Parts: sequence; structure tokens; C-alpha cells
Amino acid sequence: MSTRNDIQDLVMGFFRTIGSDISDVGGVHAIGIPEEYHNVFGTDRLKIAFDESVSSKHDCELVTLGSRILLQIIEICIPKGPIALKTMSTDTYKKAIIRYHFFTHFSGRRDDFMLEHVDVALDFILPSSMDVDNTHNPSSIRWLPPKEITRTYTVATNQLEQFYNDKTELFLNRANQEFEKELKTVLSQHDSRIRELDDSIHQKDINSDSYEKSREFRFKTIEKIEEIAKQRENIADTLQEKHKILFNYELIACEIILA
Amino acid sequence: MNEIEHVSTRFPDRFGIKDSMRKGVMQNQEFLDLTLKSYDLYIHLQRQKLSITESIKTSKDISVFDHQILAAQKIKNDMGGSAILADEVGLGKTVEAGILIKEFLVTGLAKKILILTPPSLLSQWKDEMLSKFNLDFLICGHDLRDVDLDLHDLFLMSHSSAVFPKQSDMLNSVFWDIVVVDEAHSMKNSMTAKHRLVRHLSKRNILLLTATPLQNNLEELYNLIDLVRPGHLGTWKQFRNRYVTDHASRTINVAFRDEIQRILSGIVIRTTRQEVRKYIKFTDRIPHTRILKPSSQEADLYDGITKIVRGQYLSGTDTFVLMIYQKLASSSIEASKKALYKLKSNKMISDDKYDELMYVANRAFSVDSKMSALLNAMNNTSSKFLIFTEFYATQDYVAEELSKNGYSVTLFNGKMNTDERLDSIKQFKEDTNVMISTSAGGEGQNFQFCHNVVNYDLPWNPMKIEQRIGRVHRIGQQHDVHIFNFALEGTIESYILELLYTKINLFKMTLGDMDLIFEDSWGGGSPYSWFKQYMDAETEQERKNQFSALGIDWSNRKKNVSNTVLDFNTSVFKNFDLSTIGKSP
Repeated sequence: MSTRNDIQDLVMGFFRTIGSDISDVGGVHAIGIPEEYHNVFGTDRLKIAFDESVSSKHDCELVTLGSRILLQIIEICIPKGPIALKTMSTDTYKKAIIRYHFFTHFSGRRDDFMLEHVDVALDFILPSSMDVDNTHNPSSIRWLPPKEITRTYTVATNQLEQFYNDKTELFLNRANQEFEKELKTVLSQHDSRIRELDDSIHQKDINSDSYEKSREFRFKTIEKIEEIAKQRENIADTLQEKHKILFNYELIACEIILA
Repeated sequence: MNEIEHVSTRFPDRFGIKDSMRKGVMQNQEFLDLTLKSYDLYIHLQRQKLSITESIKTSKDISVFDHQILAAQKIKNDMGGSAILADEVGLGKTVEAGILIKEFLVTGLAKKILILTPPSLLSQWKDEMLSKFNLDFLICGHDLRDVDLDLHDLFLMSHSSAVFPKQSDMLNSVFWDIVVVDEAHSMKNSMTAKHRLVRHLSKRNILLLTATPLQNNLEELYNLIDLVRPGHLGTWKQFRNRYVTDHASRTINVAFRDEIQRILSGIVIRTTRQEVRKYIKFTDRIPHTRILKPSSQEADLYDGITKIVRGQYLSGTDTFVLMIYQKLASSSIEASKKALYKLKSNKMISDDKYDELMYVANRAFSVDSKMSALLNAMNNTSSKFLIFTEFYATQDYVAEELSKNGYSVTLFNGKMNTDERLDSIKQFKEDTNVMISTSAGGEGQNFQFCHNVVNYDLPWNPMKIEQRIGRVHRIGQQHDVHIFNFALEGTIESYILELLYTKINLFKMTLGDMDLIFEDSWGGGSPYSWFKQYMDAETEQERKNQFSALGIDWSNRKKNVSNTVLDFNTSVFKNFDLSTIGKSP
């Protein structure tokens, strides 16, 4: 599916979910915003299009990558942390799995983002009294023992870490290479400056006709060298800080699947 | 082999999903699908480059740096097109704004754009947008009635013209896809007409450009953020109660430091020189400070005016007016005459004393120590000089003297209209050796083709020093920048220069460094208090002691890394590296 369709899917899905009044005429979507979202969108009515030519022809807001509305909807949807129950059969359920959804973010000088899910089968027998209707009632997953949640989550994160083992190693190796290269470049600039200053002292000693002037020059230049050496140390620390790496596996949603 | 030391792995559950499961709380499948789709698109956004990246990188009209493209990309992809661009001076905020504008125009996300700038920068913006991005902005003057706002899409206007009620009404009648506000720190006070104008404009996206989003206290930063994301931080009272710990609103509550950093990272982009140093070569700043021995006439003139000003000060005359007279007396002999004239007009000096000091002033021209020092500095080189003064009288005088000595001179000041300023800059670039500029030349203008700056008189606000030097010490400067500072011994400027500015090596500091000291310094060191100290001291030694004490205090501030503002900057702004902000949804 193209990005445009993805965007339209999310945006219209969102407006339907919050109960907006929607009409679509030739690709122009008129959307009545429910009162609780007036502040978010700064209006009670939006006229949007997902196609640039339609937007331009009908003078309505284009929703595409980079548009404010899209970002606002993403910002609203992301912190939901939803948990949903999915039923694969209408008959009695024999087994259940928990599907943990993770947002994986490798962060360093470069970033990698991925969405991943891990399925873990439940380790206990489902209550025989469960039926489909009850599964949509929030209280219906009270049958799930807390220790099963802890256990399955641990299994999921272990699997996830194992699954990403090669990728983390590759990411780390590449980051180390970049760090070393950058450190070398930056430090060599300082080293060559220090060498230049060292040379200038030597040259002054040879060429100067005044001992006093030469001495003064030497002291001033040494001060400069010390300053550069200090900067050199600070830069190494700063680079360490900037190249720090975080492998972040964030739990973002969860499905309990009954089959 | 050098390796990265800080490597960590985390498994956060910041939405409390496990707890919700334990409690049996569930949503329906639709919510879950929306969340997963949102993450999908978020990842897509993070990988999305600007559509104009390649064309702009290969364009011969413009040199862009990675941080500029990344900043525009971040504003588009992470910030929904609205942000505060708070890069340090000289890193190309105008170009970043231009990239974003071009991208939004090309992708159909924007059509109608308004740029608000200080009047002195209108032409420069117009030129840059046209030459670098092929965008033809229409400059609107004082009267918008002559402009058809429907006929054009790209407008440039000065802040000061836009605030007139008729103009602001007309600007309000249009829905702007992007509003860009340059030198946006002038909007930091929510009570001003400028702030209200920007707040009330109908707009989809807004870009605020300022190198100093935080100058005195956190309310200023709050006010700017509130223009970009109204209501995002709650009311000022709510914000202050949660994040601020001191009465002066300068200290952030450490308990919420990470939280405020996270909030700000979604709104503010700040690149520092340190971060881009690996691919941009910044040349050095070399200060040459000369405290000059005044001639007896110069000393008599200065002391004479100071005595009268002190008399008025002790009798309770408005201090701010007296400060101007004292500054004039420090600026030049011609400016001293202006001070005398003003004192006479305001009946603060007797006719006899006026005549006597005027006589001294006219004789003082025979040995003008500052002018001699300036000529001496200029004598050794054929390169261009940008000379700053705060006063027109000094500007005219220096121009005349330099012309007499065979230098070709261009003037630049706030009295000039836009075309005259443009001509002036062109002349300086192409023909003349010297430009003499009043403070109007201190903001935003680019003079990288010159590498000598002269502070003929001294601004009493250290931030203004940076604005002056920042005109030449910016991207594209090929030479070390020489900064010449002149003051006569015994004048208030000599104390400021020698015991304050030199003490902390101010002339080598960039704005980023200055933030560390001055955002929190005015309580103990505002120009107003300097003037009072100078007037209250009865002996030269007493003056020296007071300024020395202040200099030591500043110096300690510089060294003290736990200073609260420094702490704010290092923990909040310093981490505003493009590689670390705005990555987590």
C-alpha cells in the first residue's frame, strides 16, 4: 500500500473512531470535529484532501507527510498503549497467545526504527466458561493471572533481544567505526595546530634578535598550546557523550489472541 | 581502538501496558490498529528526506550544510512545520527557514507565506530568498492598502510596520500557511503589540528565528513557545509553578529537567558552533583592547561632563537620561559636544560652564586619542574595517576624519531607508574600505567579506557586542576576526572594558558561551547598576574596587559550571544536538 493510502487510512480511521461527521466529495473530505478535539485541531471543521491537485483545485488543506494534521493524529494515537482481545474462532477456545508489540529504536549518531511483535503462548488452561461475548468486556481478561503477564513479557523481551542480536552488533560496530573516525579527525586537527605552535616557538627562537621577545612569545604560545590541549580533552568527552548508544525496545501495544 | 563507552539497553513500558493488563483494562481492536499505523507512519517520517534535498545540494546558487538540511527536515517531519529555530549566531538560520519554505511550497503544503523581520533585514531576506531559493518575496512597506494580498503569495514585512492596527487587520484577513518571524526575541514579552500581532495572525505553521530564546528569564522562553504551540505548556502560572523554582524565574526545577527537555525538544532546534565544527571551519577572534591615556583636554572635558552628570544624579534626575549623557561623553569629542548641548537644552548646566566645556571640547580635537589609535590600527593593513558606534554624532565625526585621512567610507544607520541600506552594503562590499554603523547594523546583516571590527564606543550590553562581532564572524569568514576596542583611561567604559569584558574574555565568547553568564547576571551587573556604582564612588580607587569585584564575580560565574543557567543550557539546550532530539515519538 502506498504512503498516501496509509496516511488516508490512518487519518480517516482516526476521525471515524472519534465519531466525526464525515463527507467525501470528489476527494475533498469535510470533517466535523467532535467538541473534545476542537482545541487540538483549533477548529470545529476541517476540509482536507490527500491529493495535491485536489487540494490545490479546491483550496483545502493537503494532508501528506509533513502536514500538521497528520502529526497531530500520530501524536494522539501513539500514547494510547492499547490492549485488545482478538478472537480467531467463534467456537470454544483451546489456546491463547499474547502478542506483544514493540517499537525498537536504536539510537546513536544514526538511528534505526523498527516495529516488531513477539507471540508468547499462555502456559495455563483457559477457563471453560469463557464465551465470545464476554471477551469484549474489559473484565473478561481478569482470568489472565498476573504472573503469566510477567512471565510472557520476560519471554518476549528475551526473544526480542535474541532476534536483534546480529542487528545490535552490526549497529554497534558501525557506530564504533564512525566514532573512531570522527575522534581521529577532530583530534588530528588539534594535534596539527599544537605542532604548528610548537614549530612557531622553534622558529621564533631561531629568528628573533631579542631574547625577551622570544621568551614572551614562548610563554604566550605555550598558553595557547595548553588551551588547545584542554579543548582536545573536552572534545573527546563531548564526542563520547554524543555517540552514546541506546537500544530501546518499547512496549507499545498488546493483543491477546484466542484461538 | 577507541570505542563508545556509553551503551545501554532498555525495555520501557511508558504507557503502563502491563499494569493495564493486570487490571484487565482493554480497548477495542480499532484503537490498536490506529496505534500501529501511527508508528508505521512515524517510522516512515523519520526516514523521509526532504524532497528538495538533492536539488538544493547540487544547486550552484547556494551552499548548504548538513545541519541546515537536518533542521528543516526535523521541523517538517517531527514538529509539524512549526518550531523555534534557535541556532547560535552565524549558523545560517535564514537558509534553514528558506529550505523549509521551499520544501513546503514544492510539496504543496504551503502557498501563502509571510516573513516578518526587523526593517534593516528586509532587503537581505528578499535577496537571499531570490538568489538562493528562487523565491520572489514582495516587500510590503508601511501601507498595505497598495498591496493586493490575493494577487501575491510571498510577503515580507517589518515587525514595526506590521503592528500598526490597519496593517495588522489586513494581515489578519489572510490565512497564512507559514509565518516566519526573524529576530523573534523581540516577541518575548507577551504584553507587546508585536507579540500580540504574531499570536493573532491566522496561520497554520510558524517559525520563530532567534539565537537568544532565553535572555533574562524563563517567561521569555515560555512566551515564544506559546506562540508556536499555544496552550502546550499551560498558562504561565501553571508552567512557573511546575518548572521554575525562583522568584526571578531563572532557575529550572531539576526534578523536571528531563521533562522540560523532552517538551522543548519537540519545539526548539538549537545547533551550536561546537556541533558543526567538524565540517565548518570557524576562524579565531582576536581582541585588541586599548585603554588610552587621554590628553589633558580630553580628561578635562570628560571630567567636566561627569561632574555635572553626577550633580544631577545626586539631585535625583532620571538616571536613564543621565546614562545617555555619560555614554555620549565616552563615545567621542563630537558626541561630548552633543551631551553638552543636551545638558544645556535641559537646563542642567549653566551657560558659563557650557561655554567653558565647549571651549575645552573644541581644543580637545587637536589631540584625539581614540581617533589616533584607530588610524594607527588601520594604518597597518589594507583590509576592510567595520566600525560600530552608538551615536550619530560619532558616526559623522569618524567618517569625516577617516575621509580626511584618505579612507573611503560608507555609512549605515537606522535613519536610512531600505534601498539606502542596500546601497550602503553593496558599496562597502565592492568599493569602500570602511563602514561606520550604528546599532541598526548590528542585527542580522552579513559582512563576512570584512574581518576587522572596531568598537569605537562600547555597548553596555554584552549581548550587543556579540551581535556586532557576529556580523563578520560567521559561516564563510575566511580570516581570523580582529576586534579593536578603544576607551580612554578613567572613563566608565574603561572600567567596563578592562575590569569586566576583558576579565571574562568576552570578545572571544560566542553567544552560546555568553548565555552561560549573562542570562543570570543583570541582578548584579546591569548597565544601570554600573552607572550607579560609577556615580556613587567618590574616588577612582573605589570605582576600581567595585568594578573589579564585579569582574571577579563574572569570572566566577564563568568558571562555575553549577550555575543555574549554565545548568539549564547544558542539560536542556546543549543536548539539542540534531542527533539526539525528537527521536522518540
